Amino acid sequence: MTETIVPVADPSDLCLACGLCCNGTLFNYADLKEHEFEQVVRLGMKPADDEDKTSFSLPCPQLEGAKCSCYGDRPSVCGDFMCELVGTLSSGEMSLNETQQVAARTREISHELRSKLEIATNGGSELSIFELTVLLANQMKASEDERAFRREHAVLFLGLATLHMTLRTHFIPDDAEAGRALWALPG
Amino acid sequence: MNVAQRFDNANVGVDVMSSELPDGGSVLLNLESELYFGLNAVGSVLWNSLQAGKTYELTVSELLEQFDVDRARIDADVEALLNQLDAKGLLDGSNA
Repeated sequence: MTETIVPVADPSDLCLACGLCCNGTLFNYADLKEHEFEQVVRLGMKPADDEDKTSFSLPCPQLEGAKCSCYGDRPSVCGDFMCELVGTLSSGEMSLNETQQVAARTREISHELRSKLEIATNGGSELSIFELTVLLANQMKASEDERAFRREHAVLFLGLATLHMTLRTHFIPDDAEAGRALWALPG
Repeated sequence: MNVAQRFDNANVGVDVMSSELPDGGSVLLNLESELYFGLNAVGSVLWNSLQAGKTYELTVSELLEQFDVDRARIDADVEALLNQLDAKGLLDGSNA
């Protein structure tokens, strides 16, 4: 009897080419267990809220490119999280090459968008895309004519919709067919 | 009105923009309503045809070349897509 040996894809090959769960694109904070707070402060991570010791802000300062520089000491949430794209790789639904292409294209979309958001909002590079989006939403609300503002920044808003739809389709699925515009979500 | 006539008479909304997604699909954004809508690869071909003003027959022939699908399935899917686009205010003169 012969057996066909199917190589199992290693999710870390995808994660090391991605980093979107750590760089503030997928989330702007991550949950902590109570005993992990001192540990993450030691590593230079910031609490998501000054009063709150149950989460830390993203982008993570320990991220170098798409690689974690404190892998052995990282909070448990980092090791526990598995995005949908890793799931499609693990199940064999997509190949490693296909998932890496999706991750690479999503990083490009995210990078192009944040560059445009920084210019439009005068936001600093330390801010996450979520925070930059909040700035844009506030600018729109403060404008005399929200409709004219959206038209003026149409390419930016289309970029936000593109990124949001991509994340919901491949990384965090949640009714990926249609949704409310990303800039309408932050309060 | 049959599906071919509906398709040939449909125009994309003036406030609607589109962009390609990494998997070959597209996202449609209505700047006026602030709603966006995702299309798969087949839906993208249909949307691009609508934007380019291609006829339904030409669009169907392109779909038959690109995808493993029969004419009856295309007619049914296009009818359903036109209903969705109309309901979401993505076509000129939509009900939404």
